[in-house]
Amino acid sequence: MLSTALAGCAHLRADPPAPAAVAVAVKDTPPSDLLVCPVAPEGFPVDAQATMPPAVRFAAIRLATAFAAVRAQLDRLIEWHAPASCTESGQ
Amino acid sequence: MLTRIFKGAVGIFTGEGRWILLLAVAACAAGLYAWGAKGHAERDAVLAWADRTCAATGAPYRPASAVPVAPGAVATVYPPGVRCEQAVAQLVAFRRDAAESTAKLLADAMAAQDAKRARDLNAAAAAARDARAAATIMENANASIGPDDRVARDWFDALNRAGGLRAPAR
Repeated sequence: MLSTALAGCAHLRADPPAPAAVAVAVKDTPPSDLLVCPVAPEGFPVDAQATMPPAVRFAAIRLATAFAAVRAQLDRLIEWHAPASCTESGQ
Repeated sequence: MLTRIFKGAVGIFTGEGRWILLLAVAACAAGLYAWGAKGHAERDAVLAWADRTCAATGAPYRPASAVPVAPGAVATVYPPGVRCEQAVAQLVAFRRDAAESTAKLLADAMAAQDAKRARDLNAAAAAARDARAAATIMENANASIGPDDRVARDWFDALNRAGGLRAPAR
């Protein structure tokens, strides 16, 4: 604007700036709700008594073991993306 | 003696020998002309190359004469090749910087990946250790169940532990 208005400023033509090299890392972070650590549910009441045939007991043990395994796997997966996010809660 | 030599020399310019001199001068002129023409051709070729090369950088080798942006203003005219040289230097710097920052980024990413892998290895080992311990306790608790199939505190404790469940609220 100034150069068109004032003749004396016309020769102060600014050179185009040198292009700056920019390298940007692309982060593929999952949505934050997928990175919430699972909270363990409350377990069986320990002061209870029951009569369980072996088949039922083994089914309960299988369920519990599978739940623990899946949860450990999910914790590792979450911590792969967000380090130390599941260990702080102590779960 | 000297006089004769002098006369002979002058004879070249005045006598029959002047045709020889003319011929020699003409030959020289033709040679110079050919030399000059070759030089011109080479210069044109180099200029054309510079024009092509600089056009690729976006800064013409011979910038068009700058038009004053206002009447009476001084227009900046760069000498041939100056803007082109700047553009080439900028491009070289751009390429160097881009390669440098990309290499740094890749190295950082690889280091981060290594750290993640090591951390995950630890986590996996700890989880496996816990699972094994819980399974052992569970087996023991299960083995201590009598033939009446009554399960009580120990068994439920072991089950909660095997499943990683929270201790129930009272």
